[in-house]
Amino acid sequence: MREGQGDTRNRRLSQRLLAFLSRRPIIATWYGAVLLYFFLLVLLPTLFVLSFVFTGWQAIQGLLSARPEVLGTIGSAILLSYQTAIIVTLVDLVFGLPLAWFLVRRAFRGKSLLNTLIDSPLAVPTAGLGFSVALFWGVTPFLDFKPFGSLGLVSSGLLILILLHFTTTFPYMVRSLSAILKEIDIDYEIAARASGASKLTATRTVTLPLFRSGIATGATLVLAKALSDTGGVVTALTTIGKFGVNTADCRAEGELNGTALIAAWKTLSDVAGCQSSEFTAGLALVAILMIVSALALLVVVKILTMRARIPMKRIFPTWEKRLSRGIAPRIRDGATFFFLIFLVLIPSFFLIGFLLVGSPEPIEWNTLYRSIYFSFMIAGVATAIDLALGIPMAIFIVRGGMRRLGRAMDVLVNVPYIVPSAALGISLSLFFTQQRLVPVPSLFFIVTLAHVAFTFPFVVRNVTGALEGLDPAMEETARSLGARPLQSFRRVTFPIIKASILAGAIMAFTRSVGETGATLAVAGREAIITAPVYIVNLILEEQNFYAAALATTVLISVSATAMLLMRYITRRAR
Amino acid sequence: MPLVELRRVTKRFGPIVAVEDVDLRVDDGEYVTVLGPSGCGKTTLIKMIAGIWAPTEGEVLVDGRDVVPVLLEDRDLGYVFQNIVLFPHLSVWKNATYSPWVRGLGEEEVSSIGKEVLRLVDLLDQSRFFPRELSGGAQQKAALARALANRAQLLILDEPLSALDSRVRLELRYQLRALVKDLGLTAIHVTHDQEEALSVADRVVVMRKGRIVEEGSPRELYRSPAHIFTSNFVGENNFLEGSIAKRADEWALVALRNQQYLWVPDGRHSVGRAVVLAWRPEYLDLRKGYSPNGLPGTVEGERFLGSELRYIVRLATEERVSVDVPLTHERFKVGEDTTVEFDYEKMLIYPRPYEGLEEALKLE
Ligand SMILES: Nc1ncnc2c1ncn2[C@@H]1O[C@H](COP(=O)(O)OP(=O)(O)O)[C@@H](O)[C@H]1O
Ligand SMILES: [Mg+2]
Repeated sequence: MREGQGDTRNRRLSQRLLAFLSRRPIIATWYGAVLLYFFLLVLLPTLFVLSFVFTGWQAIQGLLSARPEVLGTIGSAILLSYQTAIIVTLVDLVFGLPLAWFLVRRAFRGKSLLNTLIDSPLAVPTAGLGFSVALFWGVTPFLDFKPFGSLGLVSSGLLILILLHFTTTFPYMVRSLSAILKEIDIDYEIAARASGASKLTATRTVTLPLFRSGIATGATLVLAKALSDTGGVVTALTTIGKFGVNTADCRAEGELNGTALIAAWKTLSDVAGCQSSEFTAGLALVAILMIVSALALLVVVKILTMRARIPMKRIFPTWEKRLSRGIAPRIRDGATFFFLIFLVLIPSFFLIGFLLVGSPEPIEWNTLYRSIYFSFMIAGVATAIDLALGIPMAIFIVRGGMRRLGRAMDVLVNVPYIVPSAALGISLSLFFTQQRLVPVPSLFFIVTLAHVAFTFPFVVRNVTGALEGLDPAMEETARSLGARPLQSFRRVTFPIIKASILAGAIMAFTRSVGETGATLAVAGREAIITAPVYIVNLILEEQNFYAAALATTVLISVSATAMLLMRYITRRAR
Repeated sequence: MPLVELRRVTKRFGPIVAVEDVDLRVDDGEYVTVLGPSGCGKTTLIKMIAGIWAPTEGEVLVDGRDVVPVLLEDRDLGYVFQNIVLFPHLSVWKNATYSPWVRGLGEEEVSSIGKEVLRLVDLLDQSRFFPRELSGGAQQKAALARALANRAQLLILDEPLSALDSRVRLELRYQLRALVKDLGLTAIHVTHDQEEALSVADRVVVMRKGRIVEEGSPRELYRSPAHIFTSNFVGENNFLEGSIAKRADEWALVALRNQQYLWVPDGRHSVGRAVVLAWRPEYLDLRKGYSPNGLPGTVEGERFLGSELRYIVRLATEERVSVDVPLTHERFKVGEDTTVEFDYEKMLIYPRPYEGLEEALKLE
């Protein structure tokens, strides 16, 4: 009896609370706070480094006159980054399209197994991937034996980076292509073929043009990922002997791309004997160039995919027919699976084999556990902040009722994702050491903020996607039945978009756990050692490949368990 | 020789049997409609004719040739979709000339075919528009033009009018038939709308639950449907259940429920046999007072149908019937007693289906 009363009182209280929170000024304040946070602690710090052009112009000039060769170093590093990213994107497209077709348009057994296989490289932090890929393909000057099954072929930095980024990006490409291909009605293809078009002609003239947005999304994701990665690049280049930090001369050595250069200079700027002000200017310059060029490249990609005329005017009926049947499609499918297996899957997991053949070396278990603990702490806090801010932000974008601002936010939210995370880290640390607006309690705090900045878009993207697909009439119906806005959200909208929220949270969390660049750029290699940073340290400082492989394997198992757990929860939630 | 022939065709999707053991012949120049409730397997049937799906069992012959191994693009037919499926990124002109273009015909030929088919559907002056800029009716016309540009003898239409407004649907219905007949084409037209099926077809094929129930000319199907399902699905019907109590020459006395009796013309069913009598609403009449070939009942409702009035009457047998009468007919009030008169000439009589009447009439 008394319990029942308590229940009613509680419910009444929570209703009054919801009603209070649903009041217009309260909601407006809430939106305002979220927007303020975004501009002040995400967007502004991300782009803060651009102001260095004005505030630090003298430092940059000083650097360039003292060390004129720096400009060449930066130029070739950024060139290497872009060469890699563009080649990887094109190759991923060539093999991603048939694979997406295969996954979406064919019914076969073991489809979910294939899906899991394609996604599996995502469970490996890129620091581990770089090392694994380089062990498989590359020459390994620091190893006194050739691991069983490794090819030992590649000694070029460009080539190893391309091979590395197949493994880091291909899952993203296939995922985004197949997500959008699913939305394209197969009847278009049937209509084309009923009109006499061969499969190839139908694909070329009808499906691909309808597919532009999918290609743009996939290409954007892959470019951003390939430009942004640091951990994988550093470990891959180190393993083949193309990354070195010469603390005696204060020089970075080897075949460095943009992010590797940032990592190297950041290390040198902390070395006592080197002039840290020079490196600050240099780092800012690299970060500025990478941010500006990344934004420009993405605009170009967007324009290219939207403008390019894929249905070329000419048709070659006999040739296209011949290519559509018989041996040609089989060769295409064969090549696709060859790519998936030999250029993505085996290189990704080669390091597990290395554990079996390498000679065991001691590993500091305590440091490893601490690093994993740090990684999960940062990822957990960042994901929690992502959710608290990302969901209201998504609602604001889709339902906020301010069309212009909503649309602008929709674009702006992506900026921290597109900007290479190492550059973002440089920008953030510059911001927090120079500004006086926000008190900075600790380095841990800045690292977490950096992680929020580049994982935040995952939550917003997923939730806006789900909200856009949701009929507002459902919520209106609930409102018409007397529910307050917040109540109708909790009772009607939330249960439906729950799956997308979880998907966004999983992406944000795993991205944060696997990320190296921003952490290194903010905190260096010593102050905050997350698991990927620990792996980089093992390879870079000690050339302790065995310990690195072991640490990566442990991290893979922990992340895989976490992912499976989340997937289980997601399925339950549905 | 028939143009299209299906022999014992079955299609399964896992455990679902979408089409079961279907035999069908369509002659050259014939306009055939396939009529059935949605989900009965109509689309699956024509997709097998078009070569979009291969049958699980059975043969598909076109011009006497087995076409199952022939790919869709080599089938030589025009296909029109229920959901229209114009290519959204191409103009009406590009859509209409898609077929000659992908077949690699010369520019002049492509353009003359485009003009010809767009003139046929009366869209020549809108050829520069994009599909989304057209009305629903115009979109489906453009899709028809695209199918015609294939220059095929066989036209397959999957519910071509279902996505359109009712007025447009009526107009296009007759244009479609006229076009097919003028060009001397063969058409297989799928629909769930019985009025549409009857009004355009030379022959109607009725499907239910993946099987063909019966086929015949629209007139035959409406006047004397052989299967009790058809009698209700093609046009409406009223049913009275009973059994033969007595016979005299070509007449039978049917014992209905609640000790009601009716003499009806029937020479086929023996005494004791359970039967169902069926009349369409327009074959019944209402009058005040007793009638020797009628049954007493009570008026339960009245509906205005435009050109006619429909009375819903509960008979003494506890069965409900609909009676359509002209507006000029003498009026009845709800609750009033009446007598329903039956036109014996127009009566249909069926043996009572073993699965029960309700089950036999169910759509799926
Ligand atoms: N691709 C498919 N996979 C599984 N079942 C299908 C597929 N296509 C149709 N069906 C099933 O086959 C039956 C007949 O479908 P369909 O031919 O589309 O009917 P109709 O066109 O008469 O509405 C339905 O029960 C439908 O669910
Ligand atoms: Mg259908």
